[in-house]
Amino acid sequence: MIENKIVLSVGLNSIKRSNTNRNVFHLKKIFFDLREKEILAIVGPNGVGKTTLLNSFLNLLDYNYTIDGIISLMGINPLSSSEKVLTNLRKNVTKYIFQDAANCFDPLRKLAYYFNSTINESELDSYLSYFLLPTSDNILNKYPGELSIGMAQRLAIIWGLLSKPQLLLLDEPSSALDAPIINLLSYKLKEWNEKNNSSVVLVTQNIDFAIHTATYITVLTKDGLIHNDQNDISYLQKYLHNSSDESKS
Amino acid sequence: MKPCIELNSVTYFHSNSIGFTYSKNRILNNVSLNIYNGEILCIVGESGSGKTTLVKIISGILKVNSGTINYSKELAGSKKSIQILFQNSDELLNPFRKVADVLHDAKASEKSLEKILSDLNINKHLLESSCSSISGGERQRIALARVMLTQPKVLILDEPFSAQDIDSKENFKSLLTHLKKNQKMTLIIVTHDVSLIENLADRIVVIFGGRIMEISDTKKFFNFPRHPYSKFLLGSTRYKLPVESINTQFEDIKSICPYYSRCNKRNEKCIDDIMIHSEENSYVFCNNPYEETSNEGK
Repeated sequence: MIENKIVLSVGLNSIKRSNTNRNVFHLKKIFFDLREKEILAIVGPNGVGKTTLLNSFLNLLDYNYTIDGIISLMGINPLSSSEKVLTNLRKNVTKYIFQDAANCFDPLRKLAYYFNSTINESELDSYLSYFLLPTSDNILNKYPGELSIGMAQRLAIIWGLLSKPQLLLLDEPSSALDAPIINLLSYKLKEWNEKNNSSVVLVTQNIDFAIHTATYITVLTKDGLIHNDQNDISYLQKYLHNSSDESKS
Repeated sequence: MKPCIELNSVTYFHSNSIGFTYSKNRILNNVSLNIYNGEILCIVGESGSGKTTLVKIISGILKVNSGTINYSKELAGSKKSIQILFQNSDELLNPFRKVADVLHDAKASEKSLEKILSDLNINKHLLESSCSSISGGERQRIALARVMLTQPKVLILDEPFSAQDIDSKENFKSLLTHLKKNQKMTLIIVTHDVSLIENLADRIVVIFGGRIMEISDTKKFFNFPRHPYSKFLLGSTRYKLPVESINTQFEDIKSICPYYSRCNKRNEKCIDDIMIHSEENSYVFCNNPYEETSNEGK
């Protein structure tokens, strides 16, 4: 059997954060490979470092962090490459939808700015109606502040899907969406991923969503990233509970 | 029982609004609602349907365009009595300030501060860090602690569960029931996650396209949703509903009922009239709601 190409390969011994009054914060033992047409979901308790991990894939962490390890994104190590290569990685190879989706958009620019250059209109319209949003001439001459947060989140996801990156990073894509739309999103992500030979890394608190969407689910704890191939729910819940018990004591 | 907040045919519109409304850019359209002392009221609905606008109007941040809001004497007296926790976890706290300073804004005693920190499961070492360096879920919990320190009589929570992990969600739920029982606080919770509120809410308000679709007791709502949208909403939680059955290619027909174009029980009457079916404590705003006696809904 021919295996698909590896898109993202991560081998991190630790990520440390210093220079705060808080206890030195670190993640350790994170190892995984992500291939084409795969969706990886990362779940874990609050404050364990899920967003920090996503940021490290594109070298977005500031000087307070020290990273020990290797990341390979399409054969390039973003931790030790020049600004030019990094810009290309961030702009063309990947798309990163942040946690508070309303902040993805510049509040002073109309939404048309984001959708004018790259997009073919019929595709945009089909996505808009699929995600139960108003039509494009209705929505694109508005400012982001005029949208509700759930609408902004859906638009940000559509923006990500339309630009067809090799790797799509989604930080809590379902946080402001209601159940029918999460249903739609889960279905669309799988279909899109298969069609475009892309891969997706998904950080979420919604375990149901993760189980229905991801190829495999990992749990991020203070002791590292725990893999599980069979998507067993009881296994996931056990780890989520254990890790938060430790933080209580 | 006399309501503590009373909304009478409230309408709110914005000149540039694009909410999920089909009628003259109205975000809220003819909303009437009574809120009683000491209850937990949950507002559910599609995103963009006007849930946040409704709670902002209740808390007095936005002024209504027509209609009235009446507060009871208790609430009208003090500005502090209604408090709201906003939705966007990034913008809840000033990123340049320390967590401890933020919490001291409420001017509460050390004792009550410690109690709330342990109630909300906030680690004490967080107090010394700055608000920009903590995670989204932690930020949400600290903002809730600050709001609770002011001891409001009505507490409005806009999507309080959105960034929380499983344990914190359970923790939140038990804390909220405790608040209701012991301090007789009135709680208004806005959420899109219907499965979470099953054991929490006393009454549920379903809102779609700026109109109230159904007001119902929680038990009744979960056993037998009567409005077609409520049924659709409950059916799609826990992935019971196949995606194909969600009609996304709907026609854009102007009608008084915002759910008209997606409704599977519509008829010609729905275009210009909505009937109100009321039983004790429950109202359905639909011409053909599902009936409890018939088998078609099961």
